[in-house]
Amino acid sequence: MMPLFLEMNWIMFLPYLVLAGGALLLMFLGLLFRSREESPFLFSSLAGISVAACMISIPAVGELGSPFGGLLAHDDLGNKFAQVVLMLLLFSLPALSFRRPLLRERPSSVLSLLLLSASGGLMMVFANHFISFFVGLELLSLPLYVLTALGHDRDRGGEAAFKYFLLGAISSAIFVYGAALVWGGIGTLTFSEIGMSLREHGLTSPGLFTVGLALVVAGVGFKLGLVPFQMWLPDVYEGAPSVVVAWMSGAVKAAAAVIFFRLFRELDGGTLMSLAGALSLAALLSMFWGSLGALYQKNVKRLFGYSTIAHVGYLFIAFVVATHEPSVDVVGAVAFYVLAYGVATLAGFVILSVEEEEGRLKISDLSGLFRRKPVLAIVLAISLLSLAGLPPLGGFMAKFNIFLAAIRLELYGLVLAGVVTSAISLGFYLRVLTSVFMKEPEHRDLIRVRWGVGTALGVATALILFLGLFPQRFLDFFM
Amino acid sequence: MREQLLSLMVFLPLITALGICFLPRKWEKSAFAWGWIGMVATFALSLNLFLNFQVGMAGYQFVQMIPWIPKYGVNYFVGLDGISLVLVVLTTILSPVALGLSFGMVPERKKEFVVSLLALETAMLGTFAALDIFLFYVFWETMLVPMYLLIGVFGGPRRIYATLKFFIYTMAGSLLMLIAVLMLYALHEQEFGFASASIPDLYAVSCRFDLQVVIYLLFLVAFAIKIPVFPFHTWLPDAHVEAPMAGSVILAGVLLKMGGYGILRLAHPMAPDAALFFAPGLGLLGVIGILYGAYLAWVQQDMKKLVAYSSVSHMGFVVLGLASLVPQATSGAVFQMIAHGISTGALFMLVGILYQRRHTRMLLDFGGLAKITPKLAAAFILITLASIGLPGLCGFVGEFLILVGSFGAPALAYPKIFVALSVIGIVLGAVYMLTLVERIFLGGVRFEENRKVSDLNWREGLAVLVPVILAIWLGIQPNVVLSRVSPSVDAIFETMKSKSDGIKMAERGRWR
Repeated sequence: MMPLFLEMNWIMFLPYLVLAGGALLLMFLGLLFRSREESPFLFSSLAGISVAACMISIPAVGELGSPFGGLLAHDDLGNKFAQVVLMLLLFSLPALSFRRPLLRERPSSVLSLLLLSASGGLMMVFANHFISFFVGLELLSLPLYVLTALGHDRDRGGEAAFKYFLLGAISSAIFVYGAALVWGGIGTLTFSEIGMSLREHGLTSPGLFTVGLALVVAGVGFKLGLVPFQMWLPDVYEGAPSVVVAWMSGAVKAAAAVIFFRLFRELDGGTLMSLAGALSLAALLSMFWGSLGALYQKNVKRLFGYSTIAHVGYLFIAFVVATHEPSVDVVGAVAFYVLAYGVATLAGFVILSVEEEEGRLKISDLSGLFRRKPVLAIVLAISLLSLAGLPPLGGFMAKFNIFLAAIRLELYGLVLAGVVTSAISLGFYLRVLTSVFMKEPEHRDLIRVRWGVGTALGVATALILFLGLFPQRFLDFFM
Repeated sequence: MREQLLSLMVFLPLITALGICFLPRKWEKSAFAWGWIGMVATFALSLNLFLNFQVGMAGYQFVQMIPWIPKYGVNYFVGLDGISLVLVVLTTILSPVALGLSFGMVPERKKEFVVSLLALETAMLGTFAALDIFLFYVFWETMLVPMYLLIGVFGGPRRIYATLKFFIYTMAGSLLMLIAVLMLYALHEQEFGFASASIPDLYAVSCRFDLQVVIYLLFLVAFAIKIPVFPFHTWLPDAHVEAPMAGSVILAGVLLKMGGYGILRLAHPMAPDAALFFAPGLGLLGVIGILYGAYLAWVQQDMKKLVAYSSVSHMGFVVLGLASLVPQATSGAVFQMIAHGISTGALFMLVGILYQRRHTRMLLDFGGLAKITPKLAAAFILITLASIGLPGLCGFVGEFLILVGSFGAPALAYPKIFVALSVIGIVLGAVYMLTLVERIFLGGVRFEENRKVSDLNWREGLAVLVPVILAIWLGIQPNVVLSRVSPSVDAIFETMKSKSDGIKMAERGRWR
């Protein structure tokens, strides 16, 4: 391996270095200060600068080729999703810049964990090899396990983190096992070589390859919360601190989605056909499980968890489309969807983090939010209605992209299911909004909304509206 | 300036609403005044459009087109033809009247009330003005949120149930419509090789019969829920009973017309063969609506429910007229939509005024009010007669044209039976409406509270005078509406005929 490193142009590694370097710097600064003297504002600004530097450096280094001898591919496809991951991180940072820490750890450690996790996401997005994807996956997940445990409620956070960790470990194991079988079946682990290898040598062992592929998809599906691997998701969303979920829910999807496109464009028609059937079924089940399950939730965070499962189902409609026709439009539709979903969830969870501080997370606890904090209530309404897919908000445009792509391929059944579950999901989104707007407040507020939360919400709301009203710029970028 | 006039009118209420959002709480009382000024200015703009409209021209006027999402061929594309013009004017008239009447009826959260009504007005105007199907869908869906707030925040005791039912019902329908929109869009792309969402472009799509059936049914469910056509009507009484007065007026006056407008603008011209195929079924549903609505209205004890069910009955005529696929009956259906907007809107106003005085809507609690409140009684009786369809008032023209037009409509399969049954509906209409008048205004005064009921004050009088004058004027001068509507209806039939031979046959057999 020695010559590889010597030959490599280290500038190509800049995006990762900026993020990981920022993480290390924050950790180091954390050692210099005592926890009371730490300035969360300063630290989150630092984190923001490194994220922004990373965002700018990605397209710049893209022209230099692929680092690590082809383990990573700095291509356009990865760039789209990397920008989504980083954008979501950037938007959630202001919510973390409080004097009174939201989490049990000091801001420096929390922020450095977030940056490390993002660098893992970045690696997944650009991975061109099962190994590098796996390293990225672990680097993304491990800090998330820690962050999940850091909420003020030790018991619940601990339980959620433990569950997340155990099931995450299982999903990683499934993924690695699948990757090993794929290697056995085809003799390569580089994504971009699979297609060539299939055409030139054929499969040495078709059974191994297919099973391996199925396990890889299952492992990633586990991370996303695809039915039938969804059971952990509501529990983790409920137990983890809201600020952490705010970022993680969108970012994990953006990071994991890319592997499907990288794999699908290499595979042959027969394999894709059988995959399409399985994915359609999983998409259907996810949409119905998520939207029906959410109807019965009392806790708002669990409700978001179930709604996430439904949204994963919508995403998989796009992946089914990608198995038929891996065009740029589908990639763009998925990236757009993840961004719209991620921003809306981010806004929702940042609001919940305010309520969480006051110890309220039941739907009935949100009653009269409009009387107590009108601006928060309106932002929550925008976020939930965007998730429900009401125009002219970002969520509608996102669903429009995916449904249109599916209709073009005449996948009427999936679109019908998407539409029906959208109508069902309106039921629980409206239940929250009814409580917020039409009931009288039951509590008095103790905590004022801080400017950091305000900034995060302002940016998120602006983006939701912008995605819906002026989507052209984003479509240009993504498609 | 002339180009932007229509857009200015559409967005003026929304701009006013944004201004009112920033009104400090201590000046909250002035929100009504500001909102009213905004709505009257909107009316003035729409009047300008109405007067400048070239009568007799079939095409779209006041057209404005700005690229919006070039990637999808979506434009901000608005314009008016005769049909949308009269509906726009109906909207701009009813909105300020409804708001003006609500001055004293909203004890708190005045700002939110006014903002919701203004946002609703922009959404309604936008829906009528949109000539791009994407834009149409956006405005169509945006209507839901302000109405949800109007019913859910300012409504009666069961408001939350009613508003959720309204929202989910309507949204389910419009999501089905979204599939139809996407299908049309994809078909256009396939056939012509470029993406466009403009409604005139989509008219050119010629699709297979089975796809037409799917598209037509998807559109029809969405619009049938909105009208509401018989099996989809259950949300309406709940929404009407719980909604505040202004909400009921707008709901009955304008929102229900969206369904009829949608069928005429989208469902029929996009899928003419399917429209012909389903015409008997749709006509039958219309007739069932007429009779069933009338029967239910007859047995109601609650005034608001009675008027709500009478809406179902009256909108049944609209459905029958649209289903007949004859230009004459279709023009009649548009006229009936306008007439129903005026008369039922006014009925909800008057019922709202009575409720505000007596805090009850039960017919048995009233009686003999004619002596105590003569002005109210006069307005009420006149509007009731208009609603029944007395010649010389607005309700007659629409029903007459619909029945005459459908009588010889081959598309309906059994047109004569349908028309005969509908006439029974008219008779029933007279029965329940006159019962309503009798129970409230005639007879002796049985309750002491009724003696203290005050007559219309000047503000209410002015507000009620608007629909009264319109009801008389349109009854005597129906050509004001018909001369503008008919050419546009003919144009829609031309579009349908160009795509379907069946429609030509259907029209040729019309009774003269």
